[in-house]
Amino acid sequence: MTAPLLEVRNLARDYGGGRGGAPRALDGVSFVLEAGTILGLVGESGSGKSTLARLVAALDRPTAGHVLLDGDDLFALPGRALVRRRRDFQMVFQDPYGALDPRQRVGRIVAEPLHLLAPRPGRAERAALVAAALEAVGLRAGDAGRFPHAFSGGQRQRIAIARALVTRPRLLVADEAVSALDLSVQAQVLNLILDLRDRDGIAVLFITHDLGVVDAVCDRVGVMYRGRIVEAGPVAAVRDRPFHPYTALLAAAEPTIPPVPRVPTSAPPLAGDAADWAGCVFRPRCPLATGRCRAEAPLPRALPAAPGRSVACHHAEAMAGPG
Amino acid sequence: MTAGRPPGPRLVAGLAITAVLAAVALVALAWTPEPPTRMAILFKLRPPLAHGLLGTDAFGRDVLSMLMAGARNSLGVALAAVALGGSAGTLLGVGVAARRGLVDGLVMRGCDVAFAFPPIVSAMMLGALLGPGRATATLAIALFMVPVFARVSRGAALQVWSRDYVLAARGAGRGALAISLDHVLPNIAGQLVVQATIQLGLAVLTEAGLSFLGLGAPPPEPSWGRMLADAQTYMVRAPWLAVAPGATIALAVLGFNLLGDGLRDRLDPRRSPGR
Repeated sequence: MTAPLLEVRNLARDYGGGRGGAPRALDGVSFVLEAGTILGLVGESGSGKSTLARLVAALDRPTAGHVLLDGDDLFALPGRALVRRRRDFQMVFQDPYGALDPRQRVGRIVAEPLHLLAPRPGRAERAALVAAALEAVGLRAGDAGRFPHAFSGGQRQRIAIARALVTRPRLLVADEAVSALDLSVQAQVLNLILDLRDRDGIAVLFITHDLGVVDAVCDRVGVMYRGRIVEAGPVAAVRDRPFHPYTALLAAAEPTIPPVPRVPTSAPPLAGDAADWAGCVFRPRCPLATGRCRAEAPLPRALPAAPGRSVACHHAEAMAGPG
Repeated sequence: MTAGRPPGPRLVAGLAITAVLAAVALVALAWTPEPPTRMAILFKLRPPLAHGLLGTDAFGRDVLSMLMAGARNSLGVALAAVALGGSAGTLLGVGVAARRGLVDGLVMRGCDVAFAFPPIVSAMMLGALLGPGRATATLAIALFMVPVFARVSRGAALQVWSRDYVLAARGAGRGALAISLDHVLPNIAGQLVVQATIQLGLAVLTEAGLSFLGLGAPPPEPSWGRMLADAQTYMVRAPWLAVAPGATIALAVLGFNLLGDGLRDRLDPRRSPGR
């Protein structure tokens, strides 16, 4: 049995001091991403999506848990070995304006990760790799000589993707990579990501707050709420029949997806915050909450009726039930 | 970027003043109307235009020639001090911004302490140790510049470190040194140039102060500060002896400050309206 391309086990990350009950940005997150597939992670602001992205890209260290690439724990690797592994995973950031150094030409920006290759490519080879990466994202090789300010937001995001692709990674971590772009430009970048999966077999961890975008590109989806994955499964199944009340709420708030009738769309606002940290994190907003939700935090579990999916809710059967 | 914008009036004025001063200092390397140290007691204390353009001092030396030679001295010391202290301070600031943690805290508290000493005081201590002279003055002013540049460059560097392109560089396996050289320094260079220009004005002023106290270049080498000191005795009989170097010092400081302000408007993204 071979290890999956990416496996995240029980990942947790605390921010700030260790005061009792300090909220965790990330708490016990586990998932698997197979090569050549796109996993979407959705959730509202503060759900821990970006923290997760930084941890998977090894730009931050977890408080607990593991990130395994091909079965190797990234944070157990010695420093140099980790740097060498970085050619296999690269990240694309949300803000196409902040992600490119304004003082460097595009050619130099895109070539930066080539430091990771061993042996280091020569000058001519670097230029060829940069040109190939630029052309792969629909830019011209001649753009390498220009500065970022000469490009639009969508073009800049393509430059950032070209930089991420130049080492031919197997995993791309895209943190809100299309959120800052206009809809038409979004579509172009999403098509590019689909091409990368189909043509080059690149796996993508696609982080967004936009369910419509997930619907368009992802194979599987994980729904995050307050640092946990509350539901996961194939996109179509989760969209058509959410098992977790939060997923239903999210879907109902999404204008492009028909609302699910059984859950009221007007849920109470985010309340309580850090005060009541026991039990289910979604309880303060949940229409189905009972005493059990207060006493006992639900763990992700599979439903017999729906293989390949997991949900962290005591009342998932009620959501999945007939109707 | 800013290529199409016409330069502001401050930039033009500052550029003009500093260019003239620099030109005078350069010319003085090769030529002055009279040898600046030649005494002619017969023609002592002549008012301006009676003997030479700006008159003569108590020893009959030509004031214009002394001013020109003094420009060489003052600007030379100021430039050397800012270059020395500026690079040391920038190195320190960019370094601690890359490391953070305990070193950062210690260095910044050290800067706080260094700020508590006026440059004149530290120059007097240095003068007692090394003996007065041009090198001592340069070193004293440079030492004063180190914490100034350390603070400015640290703040600017921390801003750069928070950008996504630095995160991307870390994702590309670049170390702190490579990031500091490739990303931080080019992006803070504009702010540093502005700071250096403004500090040049301060350095000219400090050098004049040190020479005034006898801690600068030793006589007979002309310097603006000592000309001012020597003029005190003849304030009533020969006021031009004080006015000439005083006005020159003021002009130099004004020029550097105007130039710094003008450059800031162009180079410092935080101050430029709608980049």
